[in-house]
Amino acid sequence: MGWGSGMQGRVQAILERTHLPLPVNRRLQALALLGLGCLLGGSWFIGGPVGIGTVALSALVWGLLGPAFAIAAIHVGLLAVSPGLGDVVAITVLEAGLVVLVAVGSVTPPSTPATGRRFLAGFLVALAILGGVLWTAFESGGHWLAAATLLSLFGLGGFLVHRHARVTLSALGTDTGDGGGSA
Amino acid sequence: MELTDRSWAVVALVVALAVLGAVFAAPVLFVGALLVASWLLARQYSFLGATLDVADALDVRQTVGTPQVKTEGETAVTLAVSLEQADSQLGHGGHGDEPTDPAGDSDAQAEHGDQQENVALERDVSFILEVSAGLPPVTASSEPLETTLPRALEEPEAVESPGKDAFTHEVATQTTWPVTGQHRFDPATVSLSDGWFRETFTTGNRPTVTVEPRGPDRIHVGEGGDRYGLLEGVYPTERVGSGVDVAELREYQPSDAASRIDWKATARLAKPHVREYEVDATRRTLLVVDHRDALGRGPPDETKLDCLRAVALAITRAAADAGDPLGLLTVGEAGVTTRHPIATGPEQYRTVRRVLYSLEVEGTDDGSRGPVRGRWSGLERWPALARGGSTLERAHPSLFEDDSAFARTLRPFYANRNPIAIDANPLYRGLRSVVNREPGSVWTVILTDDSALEELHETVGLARADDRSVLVALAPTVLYESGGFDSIEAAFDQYRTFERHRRALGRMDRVTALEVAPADRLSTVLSGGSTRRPEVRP
Repeated sequence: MGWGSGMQGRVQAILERTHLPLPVNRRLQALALLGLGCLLGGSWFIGGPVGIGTVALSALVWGLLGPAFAIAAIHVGLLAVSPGLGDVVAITVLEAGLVVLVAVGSVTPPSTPATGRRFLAGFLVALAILGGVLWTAFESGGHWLAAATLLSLFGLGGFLVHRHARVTLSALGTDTGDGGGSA
Repeated sequence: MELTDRSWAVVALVVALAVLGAVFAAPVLFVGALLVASWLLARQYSFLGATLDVADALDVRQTVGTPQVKTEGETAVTLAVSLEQADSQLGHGGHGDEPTDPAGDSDAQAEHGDQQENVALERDVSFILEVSAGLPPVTASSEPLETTLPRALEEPEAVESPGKDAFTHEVATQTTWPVTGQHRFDPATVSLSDGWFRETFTTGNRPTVTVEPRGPDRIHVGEGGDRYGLLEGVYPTERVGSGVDVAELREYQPSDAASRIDWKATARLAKPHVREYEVDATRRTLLVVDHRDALGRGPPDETKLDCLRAVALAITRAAADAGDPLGLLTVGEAGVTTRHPIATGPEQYRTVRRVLYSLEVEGTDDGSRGPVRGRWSGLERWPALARGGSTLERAHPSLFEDDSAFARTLRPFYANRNPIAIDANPLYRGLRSVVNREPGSVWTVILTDDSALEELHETVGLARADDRSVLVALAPTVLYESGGFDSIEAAFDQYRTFERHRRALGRMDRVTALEVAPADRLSTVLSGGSTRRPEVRP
């Protein structure tokens, strides 16, 4: 078990070209606590105790299905709790808390630093671009245009990454050596 | 890059949130969709980076134990997967979507580093790397040749290269090769998945396995029982031109360009002299392979076609080694079956080899066995065919109906011709179809048997036109009888008859006629008639 698991760890490290693992230092812990605080505070202002319950339910979803479904759950839950959602500051605080938690989660073990860095960079860039375009579309054309723009940009982003992978991997080439044996 | 079911579920989530946001005019759902979409794109980007790292660090080699096997032969194929790592420090495995415990005690984790790592790895299901060999489709292997990392590295065979930070894992299997020819492996297929995305790419070398038909162990190629060095040495061009090697020094002629004058020789000999060079020697070779019904005669794997194929392959190999242009014409009962104009280059040699390997005895289109050209029929028919009266009358009826002096004068000249019969013969017709398309010097190699010698004579005559050289490789039917010889003496007599005709062919200008047969059978026949053997020799 020990040797096998150790090898697994090594392979994992090779696969991800890792460097020294990031320590789960107190700064990350502080960030995570801050994010959690923002999330709880925002949800309290939006929905009170029911809002806190929604966050707890979302934490369960996070554990079972991962952060994507937890994010969806928390937004749908809060909308159900408080259909008006008039407090922009509370919503902003809640969203900021969510972003911080997702970011901290990406650079915390068992994730490797290389993977975490890439994820974090990709997440923040995607958030900035999609958010900017979404805001512009929302301001100029309303809900449906915003939805269409967001989905189009999302699809385009995914396709571009896919194409980049295809082009890069196809350029790797094939060794034409015969690999002949000893006969 | 493919999305797994989990990723498609997240995509559906984004779409649902965005559409619901528009339907209920709820901006907060847009924010949710934005966060989830960004999360998925970031995962995709992160996976891409990891995939490229793996592609860089991965070395896959496919190795064939024996690159040349006989049909239905077996050889071991090994798939070796090696992962290199630049850094000696190794970290944790895992992926970023695991629920974290932000309030965890980092000091405690540091104290129990190994234990924590193992626990994390047990939970980790990401980055499964599958490598499968690119075995040609014609191969039958006892088990699939593939390996999965990191599971494979748990096996005892996994080797950690000391000082290289590389891990190698090998899997091997025994493969059977039922189809004759050259078979090239595809590159190995690498499939990498982290549970959310899956990427497949190909990498590694592409070995080739040559599957040779089972044939006789030793083939005799020679004249009257003596071996002939078919492919030995160099061949003189006997032509002068603009090559490198000096051919001769001759006096200057007014038609020569002044630039060709060799001034040193001119000064030495007191008269203008020109130096001639040997033309660059490349031999344009045209292989004409007969694979009609009669060529299927012989014991299994030792048929006439098997032996002639081996000779043709040897000539092909020699042409490839010398870089000589090579063409191929194959003839079946119905006529030409393959025609490859004379050309050079690896692809041409590969194509010729492939055709030769796949060549089988061919009957007529309607499935019948075609005209019986059985043993000695050609030899026995030769004098009869030479008379050829009735066919000639059909060909030139006017010549026989006409009683003029002109017709009477011409008639004897046509008496020994049989134009219709010859023209109907596939070998002659096939060669005629290419001979005009290949101008210049061509060395024609005709590989056939002795069952239609008249046709062969006409074909050789056609091949040696325009000062061309011809090599005729003949499979004597007597040496390809299935089972043993009924009578060694009778076989020897038949061989002697064959030998007489072979020598007749060989006496033609620029024609070399050789016999091709299993060496043991020939020596048996020759030993059986050893007392009369001097008669065979010229």
